[in-house]
Amino acid sequence: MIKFENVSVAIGSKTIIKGIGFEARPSEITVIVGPNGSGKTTLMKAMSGESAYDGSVSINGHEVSAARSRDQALMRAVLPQATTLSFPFTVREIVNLGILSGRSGVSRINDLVERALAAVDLHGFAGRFYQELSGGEQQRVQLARVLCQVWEPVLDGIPRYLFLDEPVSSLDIKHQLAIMETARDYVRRGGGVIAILHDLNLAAMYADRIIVLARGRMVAVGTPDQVIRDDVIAAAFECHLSVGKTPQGNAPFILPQSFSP
Amino acid sequence: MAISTISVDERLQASDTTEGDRTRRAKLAIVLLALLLAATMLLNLGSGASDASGLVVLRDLLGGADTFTLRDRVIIYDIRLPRLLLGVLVGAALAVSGAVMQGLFRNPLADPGLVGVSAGASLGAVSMIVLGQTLLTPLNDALGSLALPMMAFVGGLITTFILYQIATRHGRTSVATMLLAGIALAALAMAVTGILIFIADDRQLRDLTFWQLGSLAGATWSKIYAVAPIIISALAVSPFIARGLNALALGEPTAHHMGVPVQRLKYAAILSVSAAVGAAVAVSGGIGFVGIVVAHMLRLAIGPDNRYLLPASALLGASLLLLADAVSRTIVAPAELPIGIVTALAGAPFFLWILLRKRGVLDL
Repeated sequence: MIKFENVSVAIGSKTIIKGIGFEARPSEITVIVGPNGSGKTTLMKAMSGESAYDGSVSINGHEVSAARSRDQALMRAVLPQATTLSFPFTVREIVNLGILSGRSGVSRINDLVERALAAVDLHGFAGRFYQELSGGEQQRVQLARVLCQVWEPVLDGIPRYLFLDEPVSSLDIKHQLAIMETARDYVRRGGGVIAILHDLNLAAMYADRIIVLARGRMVAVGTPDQVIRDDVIAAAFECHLSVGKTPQGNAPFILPQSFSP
Repeated sequence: MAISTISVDERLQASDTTEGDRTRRAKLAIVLLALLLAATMLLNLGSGASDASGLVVLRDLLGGADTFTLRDRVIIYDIRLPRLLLGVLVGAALAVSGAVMQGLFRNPLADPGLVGVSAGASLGAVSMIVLGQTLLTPLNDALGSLALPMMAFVGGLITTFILYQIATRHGRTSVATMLLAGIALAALAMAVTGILIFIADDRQLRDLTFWQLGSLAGATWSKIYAVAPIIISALAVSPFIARGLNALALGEPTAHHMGVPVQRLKYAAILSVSAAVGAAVAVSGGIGFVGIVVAHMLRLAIGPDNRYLLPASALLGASLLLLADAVSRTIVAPAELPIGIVTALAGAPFFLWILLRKRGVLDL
């Protein structure tokens, strides 16, 4: 379980997030939504051990700020919004970097790179140069690398997590769904997923729990049905939206109405 | 996953698990480079003022043919052999340091010369040459022939330390700050070096010029004993940082996500580079471009994986420096062209060629 308790992050004198508290459970997709600048990425950086924070952030009971990089890497893998690459690696070499070397907790599956590439629909891309791929393909290569790092969702009875910061932002609709299905499959097998999404419909469809951030604070948390409501969304995003039900009736969907709330 | 009618297992069976995998090629390259180094070593042993060929020397080394005159023996064992070993050590040190710096700065054009390490080492050496008989006499008396290498080494370390202090805040090292601070520190070190040159007398000026141009000519066994432990232990660090440097190619945050202790990695890389470069500059002066040329050629051939790039760099760097030394000794024989001129004549156009090729791709 990932647990935030009264977490604040300040950069210089500016407070980015304040008083954040929630739990993200294994076997669940937890989605964080919120307008630009609401602190979503800062929140993810705090739980990835990238930025200092006040309060407490723990993964499976281990305080993030006190855990070594290596131990954090065994418990969770992180897909950042954007990744730059400075040398001409092939796709296989990049994905292979995700496989941790050495001690316990390391996957020993032989064709792990092939499996990970297949999971992001990039079968047959192993020999290509990363820098020659399109933005969406690069994003999926990075996801394959991230999947390799925590391939088994549960290791020695302890759940592991995927942290995904806008995993589908540069993908076409087919691959948006493919990636979200991969995430769903991961939680079905006992792991946990925490994802930042901009697409509220995708969030409503795939999230078990949604956390809404606005101006650095948590303004709502709950199941899609509890959170994706006209009033909550309009207040957080400061625009007018109308919420309906999908024809199948299993998830709310959002239709933009007007700019002014 | 329901995105294709073919199952994952079926597709895996049809897949080629070596596509995009360059490890076999890299391992082969390392074997070939080891052979190349052996060949250049033999060539260097056998070339010069004595007629003794490399193979004869080798046979003598192994305790075989005893056909050498005393003159040959002196030439081989007191001049050629230390020079050969110094060339191997310096070439490997400069090439590996270049590759490590490039990995650290995530920039294929980074080089110890760029961040002021070489300039700091030069300042240390030049102050010994100019002030050795006046201000620094006690040091000169105490250390003897080791005084110059020690001062260069200390100069390199001090520069690196200041650089690291400037570029590191809150436990994080900013590469951009480090590059810029390196340029400023190099300029400062060169200005102070300029003052020393200004006050130097004629004899010192000749020493200075020769040393600044870079040369393996002063190789002695005592120099080898002084720098070999430093360079070898610095090179021994590289296998431990290779994987971390690979991860660093994806950026520092991502390297951290992948479990790399980034700050420790940077510390190890900086320390080993400054030790290796300080030692190399101390005994051979300003030999430039080895790091850039070697690592770049190897990346084209075997890819950027540091687990293979670093050992391959050591082998190719040593070979290339020996070849450059052979050129420097023979091109204007019986005089000798400083090796730094040879490497700069070959390396600077190569550097420009990389720049032109990467124009628009590199953010410089």
